Amino acid sequence: MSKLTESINRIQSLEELADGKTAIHCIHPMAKLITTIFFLVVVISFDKYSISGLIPFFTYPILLMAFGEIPYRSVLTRLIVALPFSFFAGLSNPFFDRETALILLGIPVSWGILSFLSIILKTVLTVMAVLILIATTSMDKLAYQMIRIKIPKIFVMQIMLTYRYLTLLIKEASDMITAYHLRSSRQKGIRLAHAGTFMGQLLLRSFERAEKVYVAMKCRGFNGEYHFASSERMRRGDYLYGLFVCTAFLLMRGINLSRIVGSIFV
Amino acid sequence: MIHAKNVSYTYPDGNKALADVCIDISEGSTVAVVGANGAGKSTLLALLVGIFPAKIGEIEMAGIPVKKDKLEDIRRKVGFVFQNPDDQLFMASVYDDIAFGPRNFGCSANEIKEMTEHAIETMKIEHLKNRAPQKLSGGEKRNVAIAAVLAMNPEVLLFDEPSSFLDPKSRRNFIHAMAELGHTKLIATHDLDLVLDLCERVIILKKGEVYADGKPMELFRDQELMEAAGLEIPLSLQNRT
Repeated sequence: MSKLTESINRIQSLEELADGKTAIHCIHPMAKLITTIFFLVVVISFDKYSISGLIPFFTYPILLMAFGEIPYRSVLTRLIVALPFSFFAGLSNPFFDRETALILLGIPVSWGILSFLSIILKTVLTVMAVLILIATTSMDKLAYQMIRIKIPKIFVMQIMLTYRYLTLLIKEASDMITAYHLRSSRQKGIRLAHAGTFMGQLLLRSFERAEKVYVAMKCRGFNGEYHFASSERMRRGDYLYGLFVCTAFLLMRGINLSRIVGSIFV
Repeated sequence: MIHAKNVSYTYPDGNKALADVCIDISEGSTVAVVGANGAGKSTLLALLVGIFPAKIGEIEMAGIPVKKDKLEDIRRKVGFVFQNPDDQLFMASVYDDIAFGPRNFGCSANEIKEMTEHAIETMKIEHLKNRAPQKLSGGEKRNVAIAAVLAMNPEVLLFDEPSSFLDPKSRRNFIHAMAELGHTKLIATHDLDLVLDLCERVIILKKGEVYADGKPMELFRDQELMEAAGLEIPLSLQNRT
């Protein structure tokens, strides 16, 4: 139960950061959304063995966290949730791609290890960028900007409603787990024999909730079209920010800064 | 303002929820619907706003017959406040939630702003407008849910168990806020003391039928009637007698 409650608090604490008033929070949501998408594309575009080229991109999340006054801890703890997925996705690389790529301090490093590290670095960078975007921009503003860049409304609506009702679903599950444990005191977790009924109940409850929400929406005139709040216009500073950041990404993509810095010392 | 004539309703599973219900409520009045669990209170409200189609009988709300092709007009005129505000509040901020109705009805940006701010002012929730609904207390959520309905400028307000989820102080604040609203109000509730404070008339349902209809003070004092309807004399009256 406490773990689920913790998860609720963790989700909410990141969202609360979006109410900040720092320079990063004040940048127009569109500028932040576009630069984040551009960052993701540039980072993913590196080839599968690239590591040195990715390192300079850490300046972006580090600078944003510093100027946006986002606690490193809150971003890093959420990052840990995403890491196992890419860890297991890349785990087989060192076994299949064993050819030595380089020798580091006398230890041979295979191409497989390089591609594995590259996957981990890309995950860290992209997840951090998205977490920082959420921590500096509220969900409703992001939703409106997603509509403006022509992401289909149905997807944006799905994201919004999932985001809103995730906390309620977790709370529902948390209440059910508490009720279960109160009547099975000597037991850890939910017994496999009960897991099916438990999940089924949760699914039925979520259907019921969805039905009620839909009816409430219909009662306030909803007819399938979701109307999002419009936001302020972009100012010159927002355009300059977007232009500057995207140019910096392109430069970092074209020029391997790690190699240049390394060659100064070697 | 609210007219229901010989309305019956049976759920698809065969459970008969309402039988031959006739209700007539005039403009500006505040009326309560009470009854034991399963008496048909929530079903009646759902029929009045067209959530369930009334296949038997006729319903008219604010001069519009409740029929499938008139539902959009009905929902402009009738505001429904749900029992659980979490079912009703789904936007990321309180302001957006309150503006949801006016936006759906195609109002201009200025009208949306005006209607939303007026509703916020009426419910005295200026301090909450930028907050996320899920972070509010039960009483705050209830006030936001009412503001969200008021923003549509309805003529009739329907409430399903409005005092559930409220602590005593929030309940008292809710009663004060309701007393100031001049709309026609129909309140389905188990909270008989709230009925005594707010309503000039009460309709008692029993097994889907109108069992009694009259002034709350008179009906609630009648112990025989209350027991037959599966109810109890409200605490405040027990103390006075």
